[in-house]
Amino acid sequence: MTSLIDWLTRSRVWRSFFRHGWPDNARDRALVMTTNVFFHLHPVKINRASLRATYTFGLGLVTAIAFASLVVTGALLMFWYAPTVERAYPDILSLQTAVPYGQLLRNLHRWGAHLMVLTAVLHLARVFYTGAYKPPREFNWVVGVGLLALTLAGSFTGYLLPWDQLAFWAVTVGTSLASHLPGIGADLQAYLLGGPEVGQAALLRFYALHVMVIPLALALLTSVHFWRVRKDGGLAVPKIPRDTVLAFPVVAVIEVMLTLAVSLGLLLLSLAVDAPLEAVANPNLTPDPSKAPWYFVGLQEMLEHGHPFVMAIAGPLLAGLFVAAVPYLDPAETDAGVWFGSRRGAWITALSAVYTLVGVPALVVLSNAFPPRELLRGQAPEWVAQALIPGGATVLFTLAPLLALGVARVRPTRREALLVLFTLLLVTAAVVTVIGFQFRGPGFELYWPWQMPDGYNPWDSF
Amino acid sequence: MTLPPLPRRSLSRRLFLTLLAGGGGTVLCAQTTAILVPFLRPLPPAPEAGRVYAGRLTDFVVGSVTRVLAGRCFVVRLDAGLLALSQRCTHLGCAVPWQAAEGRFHCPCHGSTFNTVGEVTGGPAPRPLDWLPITLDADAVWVSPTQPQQRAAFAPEQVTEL
Repeated sequence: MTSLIDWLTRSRVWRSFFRHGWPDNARDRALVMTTNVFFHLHPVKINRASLRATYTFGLGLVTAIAFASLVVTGALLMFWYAPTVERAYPDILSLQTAVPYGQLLRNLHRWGAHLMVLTAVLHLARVFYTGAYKPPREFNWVVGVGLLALTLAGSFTGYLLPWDQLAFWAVTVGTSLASHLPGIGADLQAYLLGGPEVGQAALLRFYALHVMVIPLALALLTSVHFWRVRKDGGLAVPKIPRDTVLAFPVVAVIEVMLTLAVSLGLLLLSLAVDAPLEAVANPNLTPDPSKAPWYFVGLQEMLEHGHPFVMAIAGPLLAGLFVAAVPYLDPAETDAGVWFGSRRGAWITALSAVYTLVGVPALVVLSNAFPPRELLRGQAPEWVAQALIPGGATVLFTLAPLLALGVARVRPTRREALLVLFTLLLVTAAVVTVIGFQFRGPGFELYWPWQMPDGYNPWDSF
Repeated sequence: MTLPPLPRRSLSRRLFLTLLAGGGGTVLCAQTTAILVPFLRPLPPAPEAGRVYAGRLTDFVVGSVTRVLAGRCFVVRLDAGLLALSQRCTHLGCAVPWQAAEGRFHCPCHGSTFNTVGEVTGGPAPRPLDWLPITLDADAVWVSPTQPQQRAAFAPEQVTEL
């Protein structure tokens, strides 16, 4: 056996492929990492703490694997799809009925996209709660926020391509949000759609963005993201104890196993559940209810409670800027790589989560029962009911926990103050998404999920 | 210890080339932007393609609301004349149907309601439905759905008088 390996690794062919020997010793295992283009994003030695499953949950890796699977399935789908109003929908139909494994490929692409959005958000939360954004990793956090934005853009542009009712109206609603930006709104929407409304130009633009511009940007930014992790000394972990192992083959095994697990999971899901396809797009008939894709349905829920500019543009923009600025608001290098920083941090996070879990549904129900917009219609200027009241309530709700900490004479550290605000934001996003998705029925009215009228089931269009 | 002073030159070769590369790069970026903005601007709709036949004048009874599917709009016959309303909800662009039983336009997306002249009576819509220019050709009624007119309130000049 050994002589066979010796013969193999000394052959000219082997040495033209690989610039290292058989990796059964420390030297060659180090050389694998430094001489192989695919491995060189890893360090030669890796901190044992960063391999712990309960530290990272592999979320960043799963996001990258989902992206890779989307590139493969997406490229395959392109063989059977033409982005024209006449052909898009029939192409999807024949993909599903005539092309062998066509339905499976479409399912894999759709569930992969959902997975990527989900794990990207969870990865962001993991990095935040472990303080992994702290110096020197501040800018890589910003790169990550950019990657999340690109992921959402990729998912949203792909949503239009089947050209069914779901696609058409979700994108009509989604792009109409842009039209409420003061001044440039209408122009911005026209640039996105290539015209005043969703039509051939919009389909072509979304297609070009979806298959070329956004994936290229994602690949480029992902490379920057990985490279910076490597240059910053791997994942953020506590400085002591310093306990390293050779990265090869440990990380390779982890990565292959995770890839297999994600592939298997997506395959089983795709065999069990088909991607939805409704009737062909009809610009004259809006289905009731018409909802945005699940990751934007939280925004749609916010829209119920105030002016589109305040609730769906200014608010989320401020939230996005806050998230991007997190590492600069808390520049202390201490307790990086520790979940919640301390026990007190964990308590503050839990209390913030409970506060939001109770408070946001209460605000939604209150605003639904006593809508300021309808109660004040004709009695006060519109900006009072649509901007001042909902905007003011949101600001008060956000700042109240910090005031409470002050009253209780808990002097929160900067990190603890951020834990409060970020938890508030994350849980609010989750709660309004669940309400918008699961508790809104025809007419976008509030219903209990088990009392949905007209046989409406939100999961049919997931 | 003091270092010997660098030879004084107004512009070294390295500085000149650096400035040239930086300046050239800036110019390239600026000109790319200057090209991309008009390149990606949507083309204006052909003016004639935008005119849609809505029906004969006699088809529109006073008090009626008629849907013009091809024009994605409604023609409302008021006492004073005809008013064409875009079906696009001013909130988020859903197609607002006329609900004869309710006597109002009622949007399925977020529940905005509009009266017969398109004014908001409920829901989150921020302004009345857009109105569209109408042209009369003998007794043929044409609407121009590609020229929606935004407005803050209903005004008589939006009506094509008969």
